[in-house]
Amino acid sequence: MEIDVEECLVRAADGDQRAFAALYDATAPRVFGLVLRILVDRAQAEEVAQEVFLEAWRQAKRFDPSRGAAISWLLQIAHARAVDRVRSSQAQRDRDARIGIRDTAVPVDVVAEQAEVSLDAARARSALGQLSDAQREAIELAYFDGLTQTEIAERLGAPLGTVKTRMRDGLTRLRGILGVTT
Amino acid sequence: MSDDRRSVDDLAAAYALDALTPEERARFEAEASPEARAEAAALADTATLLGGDQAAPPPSLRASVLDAIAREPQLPATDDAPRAAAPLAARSDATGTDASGSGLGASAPAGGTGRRLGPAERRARARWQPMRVLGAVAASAALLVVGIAIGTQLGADPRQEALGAVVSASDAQRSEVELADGTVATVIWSAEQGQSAILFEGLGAAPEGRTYQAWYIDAAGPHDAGVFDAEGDSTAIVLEGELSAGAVVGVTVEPAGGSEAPTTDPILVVET
Repeated sequence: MEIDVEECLVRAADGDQRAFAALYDATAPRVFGLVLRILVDRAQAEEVAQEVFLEAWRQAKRFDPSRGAAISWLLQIAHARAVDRVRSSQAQRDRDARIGIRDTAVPVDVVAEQAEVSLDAARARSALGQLSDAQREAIELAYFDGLTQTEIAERLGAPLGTVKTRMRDGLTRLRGILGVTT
Repeated sequence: MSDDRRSVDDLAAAYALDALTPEERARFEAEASPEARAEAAALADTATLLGGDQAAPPPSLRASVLDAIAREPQLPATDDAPRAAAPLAARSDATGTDASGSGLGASAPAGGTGRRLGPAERRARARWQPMRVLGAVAASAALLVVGIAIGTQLGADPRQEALGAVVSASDAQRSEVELADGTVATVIWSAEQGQSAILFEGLGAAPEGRTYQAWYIDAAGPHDAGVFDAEGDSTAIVLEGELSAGAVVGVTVEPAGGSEAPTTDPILVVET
């Protein structure tokens, strides 16, 4: 399947709605997968995914292909939106409740909920596995649970400076392992 | 480099992970060094690789997204689009002064009398006679009032943001015209951004089963620039599509849902 996501986004920036539809088709599973992983709740993930694509449409002219890949640009919008949502208190309570339900469910259900585990996901997990436990924990609490650095420090009982260093060293190491997206 | 500056730069990784509070985030964006910004951008790219999970959204999401974007204007390429009514009003003062000094007609770069028109454009213009432009001073005063009204009416509406971007563009120009029914319309455009907006004061609702439709008319003929309805005392629209150099902005009344090409005589025609 040869859909050029970059090309679709550049054409969408000129108001081309069909190019945007092609962009949606090529990227929606990634965007929805990320948003769902962060929010856990499907209904909320759908709302946020809609916001993400609307935002991408509005901002399309500001995408600069020389500064990174289109999928990376889109996933950064998706991540920021999902984190904003999870930080609103009701969303956080819903999420905690759902994770509680999920974690007491039988293992078969857990596998089903994770949907398709892609090669990318397997690669990311393997890369995370190469970090120290402390680095991995700090990065996962930030990226998947939407905690701020201060909340992570409180949760771990570690000084803020230590958390900052773990996130920075961990991400820098991941960059070395995973390479660059473009 | 001060200690304080270094501590801002220390936020790069947390910035890349969206792990900052809104206040910390704003501080990083305002104060971080170019090196820290570059680091944050690179690490943010890496972070996107962590989310490798894929999940199929419901088919209804696709329809709903595509329906929403069809009604959603896009922002211009610049990062500094103003958000609030305040800069919108302030900038309209500045451009208003500009326009009153030279006269609106004279300040329009592409509207000169000597410009050659293509056959299609001539055809279009035969029907789309530009309307007489009212005084420029009155235009800026009215715009100020309408701008404030829009601010309260739309709140953080993205349309207002798009409108703000057109109105405050450094090359923004405007013409104010009076429609046959007494409605005052101000057309504002920016050649640089290829965008234009219309503010109506006192526009009544379109007749039953009809809608207003905006058009750009250039050498190739009329281009649909979106349908809209009247909204109370002040109606503000940002035209869809791109304003090409010297295009004419027009509005017609069309059957509900809009037409592919204008089917009635225009109620508003303004040269840019």
